[in-house]
Amino acid sequence: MDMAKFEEEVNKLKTLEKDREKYFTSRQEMEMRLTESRNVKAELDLMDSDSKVYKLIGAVLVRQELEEARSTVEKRLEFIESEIKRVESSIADVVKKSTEQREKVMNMQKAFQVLAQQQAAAAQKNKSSLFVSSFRISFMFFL
Amino acid sequence: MAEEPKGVPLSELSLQQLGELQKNCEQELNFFQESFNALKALLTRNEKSISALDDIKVATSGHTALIPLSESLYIRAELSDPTKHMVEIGTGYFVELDREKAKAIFDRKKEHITKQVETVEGILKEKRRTRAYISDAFQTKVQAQLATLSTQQN
Repeated sequence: MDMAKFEEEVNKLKTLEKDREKYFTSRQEMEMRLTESRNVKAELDLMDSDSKVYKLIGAVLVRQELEEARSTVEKRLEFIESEIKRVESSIADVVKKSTEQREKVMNMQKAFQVLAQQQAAAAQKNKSSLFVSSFRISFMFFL
Repeated sequence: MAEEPKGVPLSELSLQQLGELQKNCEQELNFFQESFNALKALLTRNEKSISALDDIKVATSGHTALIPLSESLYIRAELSDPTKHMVEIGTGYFVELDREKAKAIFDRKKEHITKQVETVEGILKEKRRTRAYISDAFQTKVQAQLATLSTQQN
């Protein structure tokens, strides 16, 4: 059993879990953006065709055609949706990998425990045989 | 994400597992509490917009008003057309609207947020109940272990 190998596997598991955490946060952020964009889309859809729409660019409000704003938001929605799908597949992948890795680490841990027990048992045996031989020696001296 | 497969009674979990579960529950509770606070803050902001619309109702064009440029800096300005309002609808989009339409937006927003607040409130209640169950089970377990320990000593 190799301790360095075990540590390496544990570190792999840690990296996977960190990745999972990262993907979860980015999915959450994207979902927030998705909801906001959906709300904007809903409001834009309710506007009269002669409504004056402005887009805040830096510190300036720039006039935009309603149709243009609608299609921009529409495109953004599609983009975010595809991004979310991408992150979801990454999450599924990383969850699968980390489950496998966790199993691997647990198996190694179990093997370590078995080994330790065997060693302990062997040590116990050695001790008793040592005791027997020393007993025999002292017995011989006695004679 | 369920830590344990469903249907395992709390009393069968080890102290360590219960502690883990308790931590998870606490984290979730914090998350929802934060969302709840954020939603409440949004609601207050929305309410302010609605009352501002009400305030400006009586204004006619040519009215002068102090317009805040920052929290503590104002400028006296003349309203050229108090019937038109710029409303932010999100992601940097602004729309020029009359009072009724602006009000309609804020009302929709209010309804939307209120619904969310109710959902989160429900989740919070349930999470608190779960937390109580877990800490109950934890306490019972500790008591039981202490009891066996003292009988062993006697």
